[in-house]
Amino acid sequence: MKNRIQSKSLTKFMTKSLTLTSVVIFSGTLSLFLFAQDKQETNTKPIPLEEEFKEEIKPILQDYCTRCHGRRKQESGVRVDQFDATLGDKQLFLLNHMQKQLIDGNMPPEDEEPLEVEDKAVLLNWVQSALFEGAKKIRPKNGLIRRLTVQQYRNTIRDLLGVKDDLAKALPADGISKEGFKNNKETLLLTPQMMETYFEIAEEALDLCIVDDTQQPEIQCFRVELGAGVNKNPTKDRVVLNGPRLFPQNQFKIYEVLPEKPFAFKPKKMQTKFRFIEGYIGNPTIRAWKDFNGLHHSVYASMIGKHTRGGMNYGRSFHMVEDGLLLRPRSPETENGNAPPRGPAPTFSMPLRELPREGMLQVTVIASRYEDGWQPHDLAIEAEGEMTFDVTGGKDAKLNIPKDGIYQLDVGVQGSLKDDVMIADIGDRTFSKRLKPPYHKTDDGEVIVPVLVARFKMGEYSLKVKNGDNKTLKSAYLTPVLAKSETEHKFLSFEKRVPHLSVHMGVRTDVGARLSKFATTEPVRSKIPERVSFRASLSSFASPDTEKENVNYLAGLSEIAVRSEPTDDRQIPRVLIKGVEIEGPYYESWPPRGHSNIFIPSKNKDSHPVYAHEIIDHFASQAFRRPLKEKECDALLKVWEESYEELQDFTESIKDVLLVVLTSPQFLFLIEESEGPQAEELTSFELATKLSYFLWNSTPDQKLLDLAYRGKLEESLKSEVSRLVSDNQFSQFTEEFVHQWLSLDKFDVVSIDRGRYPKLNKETRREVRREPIKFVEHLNRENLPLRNLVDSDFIVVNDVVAGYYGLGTQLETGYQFAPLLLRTKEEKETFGGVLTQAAILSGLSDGRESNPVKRGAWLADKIISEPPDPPPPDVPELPKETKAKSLRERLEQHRNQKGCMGCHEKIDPWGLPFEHYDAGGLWKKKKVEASSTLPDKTEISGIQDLKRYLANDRIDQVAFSYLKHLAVYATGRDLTFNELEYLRKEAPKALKEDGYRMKDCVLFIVKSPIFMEK
Amino acid sequence: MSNSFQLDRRSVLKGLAGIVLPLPVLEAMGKEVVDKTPRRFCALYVANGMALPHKKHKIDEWSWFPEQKKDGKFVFGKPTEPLSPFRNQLSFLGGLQHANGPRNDPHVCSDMWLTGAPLHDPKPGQYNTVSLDCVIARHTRHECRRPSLVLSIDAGTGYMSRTSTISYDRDGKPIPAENNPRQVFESLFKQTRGSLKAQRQELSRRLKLVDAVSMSAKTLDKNLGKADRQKMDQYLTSLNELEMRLKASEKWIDIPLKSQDYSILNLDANPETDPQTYYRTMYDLIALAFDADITRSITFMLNREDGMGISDTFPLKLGMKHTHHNLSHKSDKAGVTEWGKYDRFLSEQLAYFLKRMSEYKDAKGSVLDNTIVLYGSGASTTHRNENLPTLIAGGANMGLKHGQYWRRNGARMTNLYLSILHSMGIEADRFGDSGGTLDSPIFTA
Repeated sequence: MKNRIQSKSLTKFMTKSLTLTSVVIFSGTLSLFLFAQDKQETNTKPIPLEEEFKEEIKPILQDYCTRCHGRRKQESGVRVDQFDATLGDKQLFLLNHMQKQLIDGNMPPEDEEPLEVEDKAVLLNWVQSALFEGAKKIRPKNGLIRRLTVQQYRNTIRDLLGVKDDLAKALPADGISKEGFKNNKETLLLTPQMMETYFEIAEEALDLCIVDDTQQPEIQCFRVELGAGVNKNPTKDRVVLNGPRLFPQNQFKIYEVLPEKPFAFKPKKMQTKFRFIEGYIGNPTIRAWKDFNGLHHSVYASMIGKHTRGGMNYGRSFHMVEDGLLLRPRSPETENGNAPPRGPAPTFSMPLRELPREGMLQVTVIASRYEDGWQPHDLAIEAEGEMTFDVTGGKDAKLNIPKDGIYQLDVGVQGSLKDDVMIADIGDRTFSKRLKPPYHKTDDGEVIVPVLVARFKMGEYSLKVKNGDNKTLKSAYLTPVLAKSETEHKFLSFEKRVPHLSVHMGVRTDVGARLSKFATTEPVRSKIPERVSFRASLSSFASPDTEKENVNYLAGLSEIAVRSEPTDDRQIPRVLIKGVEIEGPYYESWPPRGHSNIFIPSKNKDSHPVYAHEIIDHFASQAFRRPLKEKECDALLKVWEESYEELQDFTESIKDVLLVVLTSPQFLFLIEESEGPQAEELTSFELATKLSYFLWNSTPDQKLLDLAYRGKLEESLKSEVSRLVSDNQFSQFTEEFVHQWLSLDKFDVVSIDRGRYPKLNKETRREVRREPIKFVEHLNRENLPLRNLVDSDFIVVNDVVAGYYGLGTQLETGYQFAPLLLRTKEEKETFGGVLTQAAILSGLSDGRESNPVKRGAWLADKIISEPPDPPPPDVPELPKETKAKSLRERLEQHRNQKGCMGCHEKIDPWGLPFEHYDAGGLWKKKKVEASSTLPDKTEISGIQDLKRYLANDRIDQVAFSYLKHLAVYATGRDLTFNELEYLRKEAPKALKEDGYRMKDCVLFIVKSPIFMEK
Repeated sequence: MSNSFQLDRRSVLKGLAGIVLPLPVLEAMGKEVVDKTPRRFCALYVANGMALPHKKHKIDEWSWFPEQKKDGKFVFGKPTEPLSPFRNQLSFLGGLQHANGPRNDPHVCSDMWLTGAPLHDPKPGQYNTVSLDCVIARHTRHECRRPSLVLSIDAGTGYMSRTSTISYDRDGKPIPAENNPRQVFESLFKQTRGSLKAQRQELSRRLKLVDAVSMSAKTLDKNLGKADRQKMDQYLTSLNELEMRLKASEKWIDIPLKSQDYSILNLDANPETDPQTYYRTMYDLIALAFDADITRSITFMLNREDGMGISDTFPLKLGMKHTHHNLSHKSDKAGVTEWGKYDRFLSEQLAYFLKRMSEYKDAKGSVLDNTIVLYGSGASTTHRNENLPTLIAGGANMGLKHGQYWRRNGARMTNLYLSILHSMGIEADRFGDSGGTLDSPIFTA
């Protein structure tokens, strides 16, 4: 970085002397700089801008510029023939750009007539004065009206009505603005079709929300209990189901249960009598009726998914024991869908006939973490106290464990193994292991295989070893595991690991199950059975969609499945499933929260007009996020009156008026009213709304509205921002903002070459995608300095992501994201900050190879806000003979071509340091050339150097870029020229000393006129 | 699924700027409606694929796709020969497939024929995605009495992979089909006073609510002071348009049905005993419904996949030796020939339909000229969901140029669907996984 100091001081000096903060100049030459300074000093009293423009500037532009940037031709979309001295925003941005081009000497281009030195000085001087004047000019502010984004609308409907069904999916996706955001007022269109959809959604949402509270709700609840021999009176009926492997009837029990609820309800009696057509998979042309009776024709217990014993399953992938079903995790290489599964995915599944059609469903798995054995790859290390047992032919043995501790079991076989699975039942525990050669053979011909390491309490245990027909089994060896040995270390970390459950739901056809996953994956920590609950709206899953009078035994089945999820490719203790309980519709309270929020408690319930007035006032104020205006209230009341008169039904007439509320612009739009073009302060309610949609992406809560009502919000801004950031709902901000700011959509759509990157499967991708979001969330919640964005000594990951990065053994938080301190030199070199996160790097590739151009353009645009021009429409193909050269050389060649150079000089240097990383976002194994000369001539040796450079030398620019994106997102509009100037000037003053702390950045934006004024 | 389908922003913007705002509804208010040429769509589904004999059997003439040429024109094979009078009103399309087809399990071809959904990878909340006819109906429903008509050989929805409907609503839920000619007739042409009253009440209630919203919006608009109200204008325009659509729908109730000759209908046609009469009656009903402009979007599933339902036995009733599904598993010479004969029977019924459609006249051209008829199957032969047998007829007034046998292996069905949408005057960016319109000279609109 030899040029760094010089360039830095130069920049500083120029900035000061020209009173120009708008441009940070990297490559200005000294002579030009001196010249410009000279000019500035001689023109102590500049002639008015306009006059000078007409007399001097316009002729220069005409002479040198308009041929390519005029009426006929607009190279790069730039047009200067319409310039004047009005200093509109569009002009200022262009002037800014022009100034850079002039200083860098890029314009006029090499092959055109160069600017006369004097002309250049005059032009530059005028541009500088114009920019200076422009930045002082006050822009008109006329309030703001922007539509709720689809996501904001979705969240708002959920928060307001308590309806969790995703009704908003019927709306078309929002457009994306130039800065990459979906909440920009310009791109948020509204069409008649959408308007119609808003009506439909509102109607549907109200139907779901409002219940008949004079009735008790009907709730279906049943349990499937699992265990060998758990059903003492199994049915003798023939139960048929194509596809899944049904459990024998004595291994499960289905019965209805009464859930514990804090309100009175009617239990739903499940149907047991059915009449189906029997025949070739129910073909109704074969008319033979058959009657069925019993819950066992309504609910089935089965295994689906590949459940062989190979892959990651290390033995039997599932096993029914007395206490329940033992389940190993899905193999981490497995992928959903039709891509060939690479390993087993043993899944407990319940095809079933009867479920509610709407509302919430709760699936509770009663499960515990099994005290499992770890499967060693090596034989036990000799130790004092080793015991040998005779298990010839599989005969029982007695173990006498002298003291509590960890022991390894190895088994000896005389001759060949009879099966590749070795089973060992010890006491009331059962273990199995898949055996893989090479096997250890002793001198006397005995093959000894390592089987398990487990913890035992002192005492006597039965031992039964099984392997095929058991004929070659000979001896078992039990060895205490040495303290501080590798084996002990591995076992201890295995023992700590927590299995995770996922629940899936969908439909069964005669050719297989079609399931989608519940959103969460839950840990099973306890060694005694605990209840692990999953909830989702029934409409989030495919329903069987057969008609009511369906007579096909095999059709019309829903399916609910449970699986153990791995986080990475390490061994995980099995989970023991004792039972699954299903409850639906699931109500937290009755009437539901949304309903009670509409039909509020009142002493006037019997006087319909008064009560209607109260309801309207209460609900519409929430929906409009401010007190109702009298006129509005009158209008709504009139709607109710008319509707009530016509329908003579209070509830229905309330639905009508709420439908009007939910389709009114006051609800669908975020509105900042304005009296005139002068800047005005936001009203308290506008502020509450703006804050809430900024930091929660949803409607303000009661606290915010109360503060606004009492006029206390402005003074509690700091504490309120803190509260909003600490709240769970803050993740609704990071999900949205980080995804859009960092263009994570690129990672969503990149098609990964699974041959090259087999680990980056669908499940891993889902977690890797969350890393940047969780990282930024962490930085904000902890209010950490912004330099961490580009260079941090920790990462925020879960076990899946850590496993993907090869840092698997360090975290053990399961699916929970948590900070992980980088320890070794390699780790520090490879990880830290968003730049090197796999979701970013992989998204900026073609799925096969790394791409420095994409990565460079991304960094320039997102991290330092010096976006390159969009690529020209007709990029020439690289000449054939160059194709054999390295990518680096090819880029260089491309960069040196006329026409390509201008842009690529500003892109490629930023991307080359990323060459360390492959298209999966991981550190390349082979040595890579990743040095680069940045546009300001700074020499960078590689990614670490780049990070340091950004975090130290360019921290102001990185902060500016972050704040700019944050402000654009917060306000839902593009920033004006002088607002950008404001950020450049004021942000360092306010934030730099403390290192631009992230939450402080949020507060800075909120308190700035950019946010506060309308 | 709504996000498989997006309005073209430019056209919407243009519409909002008042340049090309489509206002068919306005014209629907009076006599002009008769003069306005409607654009209609009809999808006809044949299950189990079509006869496509192996070259080695040397019975190309029994191929459903025209395998021979004469004077630079295709020659109808025996299975489609009955359609030859309509050469200039139809075209064959070969090589089409759904991109998701080979990934899906082959039994779900009727589920996805009109949707193209990735059924192998269900998204939370939905199994299927919206079908083409429903997208069309959403645009035409305010111009006619009923959004759409969904017919099938077996009523209801069937179940996944053995559907008895090919229509899926916006959420990808199957729309139950009707199969009884008398019930279909009653519901289409014999609207009772009670149902009319209910309809009218529902519509006027909606109108009142839209009106109320509009009032509330206008009050707000006045209060906005000098706020930048471009977005508000967009809202008011949208609301206005919605109101006009509803008014148009309401108006329909008062416009008497066109008087038509129903005497040809045999409403007691029983598929168990007489498949031909049954098919022809259903086709008659479709033609009549189009002619009276009751709806502009109709689907009819002629038979079901995999030996389901009554239609499987039709070949037996026609004196053949095998059921439809069994025929579709034939690959030997005799078997495929018999299959071709059954296809020929279906072509005869289609020819009857095209004839009826061309006899009815619109203000401009025949009903057939103003209807795009899509006829085809979700599999070529057994469980092969590529090279989908596809025939498109009618729509001359929508720019369709016929008499062609166009073929491109691997071309996307959803591209064809997007072309159909554009021909119908519906501006959409895409349909399902379409990558653009079909690059075929058949579509010139």
